[in-house]
Amino acid sequence: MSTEKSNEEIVVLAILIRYNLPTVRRTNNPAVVELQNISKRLARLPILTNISITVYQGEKIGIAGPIGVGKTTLLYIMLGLITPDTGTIKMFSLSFETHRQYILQRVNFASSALKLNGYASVYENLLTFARLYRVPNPKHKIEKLVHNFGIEYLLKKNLKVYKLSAGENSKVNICKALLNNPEVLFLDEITAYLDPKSEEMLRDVLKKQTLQTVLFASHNLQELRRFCTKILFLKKGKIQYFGPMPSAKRILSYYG
Amino acid sequence: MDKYFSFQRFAGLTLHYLYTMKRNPTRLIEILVWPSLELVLFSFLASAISSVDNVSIRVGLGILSGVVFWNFFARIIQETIAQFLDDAFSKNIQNLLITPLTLSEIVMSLFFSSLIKMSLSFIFLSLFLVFFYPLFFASVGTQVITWVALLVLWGCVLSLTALSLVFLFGERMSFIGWFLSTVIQIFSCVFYDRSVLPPLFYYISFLVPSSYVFQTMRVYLATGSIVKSQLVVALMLIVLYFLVSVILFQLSFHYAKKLGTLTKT
Repeated sequence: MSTEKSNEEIVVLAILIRYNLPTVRRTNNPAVVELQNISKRLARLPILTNISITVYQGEKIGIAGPIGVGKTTLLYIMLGLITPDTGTIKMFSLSFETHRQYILQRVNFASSALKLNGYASVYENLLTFARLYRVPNPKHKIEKLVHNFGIEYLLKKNLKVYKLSAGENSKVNICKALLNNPEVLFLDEITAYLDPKSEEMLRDVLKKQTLQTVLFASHNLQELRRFCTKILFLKKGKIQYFGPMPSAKRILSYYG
Repeated sequence: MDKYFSFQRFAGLTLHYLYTMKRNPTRLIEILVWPSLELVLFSFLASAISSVDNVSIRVGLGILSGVVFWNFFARIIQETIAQFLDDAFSKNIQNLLITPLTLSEIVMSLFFSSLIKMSLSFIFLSLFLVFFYPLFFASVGTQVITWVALLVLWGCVLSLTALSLVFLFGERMSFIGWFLSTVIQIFSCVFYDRSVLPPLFYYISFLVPSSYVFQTMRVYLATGSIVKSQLVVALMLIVLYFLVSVILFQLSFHYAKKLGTLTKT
């Protein structure tokens, strides 16, 4: 199969890049997330307007933009916690409305803003989620994950979650998010409280999963540039740019 | 394929609610110590009233039965809401809602774990009752099962309504468990006959299933006879309210997702 592009295709691609329009990725990998014309108003304010993106299997997408631009809202819409006013969401080519359970079994989410239940221990919390995702041999899986992130001592000390530091909490959240080997992983500012070594641990763990799709909302441009292959830049609830990772200077220019 | 009930998920979430109880001293006090202190207080009151004459024994027993049986009802509502809010306050509710859990699994786990806690509370109370008011169990007999079953069902129905409000309005509704159980207590005629209520309250009490249970209980303690028709009316009202509360619950979840309140709870 020829990979050469015709002149016409090259011209179209050049125009799309010139005007920061979403470029269509030629790939053999299937689309795992498809958003079509997603708009959302909350408390009468427009949060997201006409968001349309397609994410393919194995892509690592960074979601960036100024504070309050709708990055977290977009993630929550993809996870079914918020219903959009208009538009459709498909994951694994299935509608979220009709295949909610099937989709949620194959995705997961970690956020530095969320915590597990404060009154249960780290192990009890992770065991709960392992049961909810019906993870086979949950004890082994939990031990493996906490070992990967160097937090075995939390299990040994049998600490309640509310006694954890912000960084430990983020690591436990990541372990929770990896329990079901998600095909699509949503991350929201997860590195906000992580030290550089822990950030590297996370990158290493996620990079090993070549088929895992990651959508990573963050303000940390350096982190996004190191980890992501594409970037979705939101401004005033609209797509400013969606495509291959541009230079840091160019990303900064989007903040305007 | 979608929306099937998984016993593993149901058991997992039920255990989750029990884990949080065993490590939370405040909740243990609410479940075990609070009702016990209340019971001791009322058992002394019942003993004092009972010592007047034979008729007063029934009055004392009526008050004590009211305290014991009301505990079943109030515990279900308060525990269901408290368990849900525990996760909301911990910022864990979003983590739970993005798992494949269905709404029915969440609700049934909340009810089942509340039932377990209520049973623990009852076992604890029974020890106090045997010690402070031994006449109690001999007087109520096996009828206790019907009354408790109806009160627990009614408690579940109201819990569902309370959960709907929590979904819609979030943590601001943290008072709803206590509020609903206290308001309903007025119309349930737990300690007094329906006839003592002012006219408006009197008519409202006919719409409250628990009022029939407590009216029947007092008649039984006084005469030893059971007015079955009253209990049937209570059951029919509970079924009717259950259907309404299920619709309300689904609608509130739907609107909570539209309003985005699930992400702010």
